[in-house]
Amino acid sequence: MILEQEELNIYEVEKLHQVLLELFKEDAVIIDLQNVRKLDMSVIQLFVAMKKSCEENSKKFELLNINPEVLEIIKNSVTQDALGVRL
Amino acid sequence: MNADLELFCDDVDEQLTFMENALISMQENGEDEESIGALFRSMHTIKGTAGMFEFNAVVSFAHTAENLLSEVRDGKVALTEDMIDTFLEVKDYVQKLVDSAVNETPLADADTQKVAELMKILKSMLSTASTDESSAEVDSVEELSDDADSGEALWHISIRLKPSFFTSGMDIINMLSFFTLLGELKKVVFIDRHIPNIEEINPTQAYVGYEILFFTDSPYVEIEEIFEFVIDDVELHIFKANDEDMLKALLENSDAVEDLEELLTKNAFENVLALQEVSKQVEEVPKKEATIQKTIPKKQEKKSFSLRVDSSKIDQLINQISEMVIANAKVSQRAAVFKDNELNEAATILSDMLEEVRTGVMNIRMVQVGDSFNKFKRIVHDVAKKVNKEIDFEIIGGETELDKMVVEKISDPLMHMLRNSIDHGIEMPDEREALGKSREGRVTLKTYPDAGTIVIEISDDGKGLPKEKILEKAIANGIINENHNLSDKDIYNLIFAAGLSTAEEVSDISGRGVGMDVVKRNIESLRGMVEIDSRPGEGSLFTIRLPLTLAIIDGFLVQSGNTKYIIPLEMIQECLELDDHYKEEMAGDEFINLRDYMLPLLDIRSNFNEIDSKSKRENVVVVRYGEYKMGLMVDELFGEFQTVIKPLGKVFENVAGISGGTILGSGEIALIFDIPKLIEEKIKN
Repeated sequence: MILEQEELNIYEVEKLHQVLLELFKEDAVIIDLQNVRKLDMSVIQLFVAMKKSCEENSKKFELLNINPEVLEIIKNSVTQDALGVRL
Repeated sequence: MNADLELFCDDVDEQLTFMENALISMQENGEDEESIGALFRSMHTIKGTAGMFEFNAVVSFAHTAENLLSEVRDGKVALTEDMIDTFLEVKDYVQKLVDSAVNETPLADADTQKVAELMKILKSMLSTASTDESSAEVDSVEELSDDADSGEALWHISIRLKPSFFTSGMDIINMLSFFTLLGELKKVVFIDRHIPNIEEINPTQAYVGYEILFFTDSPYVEIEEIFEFVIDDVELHIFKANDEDMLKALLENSDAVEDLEELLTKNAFENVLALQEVSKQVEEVPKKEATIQKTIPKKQEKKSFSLRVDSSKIDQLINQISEMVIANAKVSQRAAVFKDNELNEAATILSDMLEEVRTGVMNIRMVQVGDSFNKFKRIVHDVAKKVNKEIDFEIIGGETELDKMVVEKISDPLMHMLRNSIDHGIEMPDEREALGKSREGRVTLKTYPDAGTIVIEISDDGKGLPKEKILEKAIANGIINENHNLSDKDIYNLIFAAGLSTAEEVSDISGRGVGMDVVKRNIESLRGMVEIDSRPGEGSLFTIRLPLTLAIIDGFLVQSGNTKYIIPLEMIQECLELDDHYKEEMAGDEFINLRDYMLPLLDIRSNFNEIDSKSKRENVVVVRYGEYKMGLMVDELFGEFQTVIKPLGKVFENVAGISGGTILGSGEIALIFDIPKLIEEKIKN
C-alpha cells in the first residue's frame, strides 16, 4: 500500500491507524513510503506496533522505498532496529 | 522570601545538621559506614536542590566536597582527623554560600577566598589529586564563578515519554538532535518494549523512551534545559554515568517488561557493565556480603514518616484547646449550679478527653533535647581547639523531652555557659597534670526531669569559680558593699550581675562580661531559674530549671481571703490541715515541724494583703522546687484544675510571686503562683 501524504504526524496518526488496521487483514503488510518526506515519533511507534502484530501473527512486514529524508529521521531517532530498516 | 526558597533553606539547614552530627559522631567513635553515607547524602541533596535554583557557587562547592566524600565512601581515601575538621569548615561555608545566594548579597572577600582555599584542600585530598597546585587553583576559581559540573563527563540520561507527551506539540526526535550541539551521543537505545500491537495501541499516546550515554562538558542544568518545555510530559533521570547509586536505583525501578539491565548490558552501556563487575566482586567476598545485608535492614528501620508543620499551626491549636478548656470549666460550673448530674457527667468526660487531646498536642511540640544539644559537641570541639585545651565532653539524658520553643531559646544561654566552662573553668593540660588531674578536662551536659520541671546541668572538673576575684570585682563595681554577709552560693551567683567579668584577658570566646546577665534573663523569660555551685580546685556546677511547657499546666486551685490562686500541681508534695497542734508548736513563728523537717511557712493572706478568712480551717500546701521546700498557708483547697496560662498585662508584670492568671469556669480570675520566686523571697526574708 502506498501512503499518499508527504508529511505524516500526530494529526494524521488516528486516520493512519484505521488504514493500518484494514491493511493488517491482508496476508502481508507492505507499506510504500515513496511519497513520504517527513514523519514524527507518533507515526514511528505506530509502525513499530504494526511490525509487532505482524511478528505475532507470522506475517511479513516491510517498509518500502524510504526517502533519504525519512532515513535520516529513522537514523536520528535510532529506530532502525525497531522498524527493521537497514540504513 | 518565596515559599520554595524557604523550603530550600529549611532543607539545607536540616542537611547541614545531619552532616555535622555525622562528623561529630565519627570524631568520637571513629569512621563508620552509616555516618559516611549520611554525610554523602546530605552533600548530594544540597547540591541537587541548589542546582534547581541555579545557585551555582553552592553547587560547585558542594560538588567538590561530594567528590571527596564519594571516594571516602568507596574506600579510596581514608577519613582522617584533618578531613573531618575540613568537612566541618565546609559545612559552615556551605551555609554562608547559601545565605549569600538566597539573600542575593555577595560573599565577603575573605569568605570567597576561604571557599576557594577549602576547595583546593578538598581536591588535594582526592586520591587522584593533582600535584600541580597552580592548576588546581585556577580550576577552583573557575568553578566558583562558573559552575560545578564544568569539566567533561559522561552522563546517563534516561527518558520515558508520558502518554500525554504528544499533546506538548514537541517532537522527541528534534530534541535528540539538540544533544549533538552540546556534546557527543556515545550510546542511544530506543525503548520500544511498551508499544502495544496495532489492535491495542492508542495512536495519540506515547509509549516510547530512550536510554542515552552522553559525553559533554556542559553542566547538569544545561542538559536538563533540553527538556525545559516538556518537563511535565517526560520521566527524566540525568546523572553522572559513574554514579552507582543513581544507576542502581534506575535499574531497580525499571519494570519487568523493559528488563532494563539486560537491555543496557546487551547494548554495552559501560557503566552498567562496571556495576555488574563490582557486584560480582562483592558476591565473591562473603564477608562483605554479610555487611551489606546487615546494613540494608538498618536503613529500612530508620525510615519513618515525618511531616513538616509550621509551628504557628500548633500554637493556634493549643490556643483553641486552651479556650475549650475554659469553656468546659464553665459548663462544669453550670452543671454544678443546676445540680444536673447528667450534664456534670458529660462535662467530666469532655474534660478527660480534652486533657488527652491537650497532652497529644503538647507532645507534638516536645522534642528530644539530644537532637539540638548535639551541636554543642561541635562548639566544644572548636573552642577547645582554639584555646589549646583537651576536653572530654559528654551529653547525658539526650532523650529527655522538652518543648521545642524552650529548647531553641535555651540554646544560646547553654552555648555561652559551655564556652565559659572551657575557657575559664578548665585548666591548661600541663597545669592539670601538675595538679594530679587528667590532661583532659571533663565537661558534662546533663538533662533530666524533676518535679514538673526539666533540669539541665553543666558541670566541669576545672578550677572552680574564683570567689575572691568575684567579690573584689563586685565591690569595685558597686554591686555589693564591703560589709556584705553573703554565703558562698550568693557570691557565685554574683556572676549573673550585669557588667561583671573576672577574666583577666578578654578573649573572643568569652569574658566580655556581657554574657551571664543575659543568660540569666533568657532563662527567667522561660519561667526558669539558674544556680551555681562551685568548689575551688574541683569544678563548677550550673543548674538550670525549666518548666515543661509554656501554655497549659495542671494546677491546684486554692483560695485565700477573697482571691483564688493556682499552684502548679507538679510542685505540690502534700496538703495538710494547720490544726491547733501545729499552731501551738509554731508559737508565732513561721515554721512547723513536719516529720522532723523544719518547714518554713508563707502566709498567703498576709503576703498578698487578703482580707480575713471566712473559713475556720486553715490549710498548708507543701511545695518543692529543687532542693527547697515551703508550706503555703491558704484558706480553702478546691483540687485539681486544668490551667490555661494567660499573661496578666503590664500593670501586674512585676508582682513578685505571681506568674500569670487564668479564667475559671465561673468567669472569675485566679492568679498563678510563681513558686520559685515565692521561695526565693521567703529565703531572702
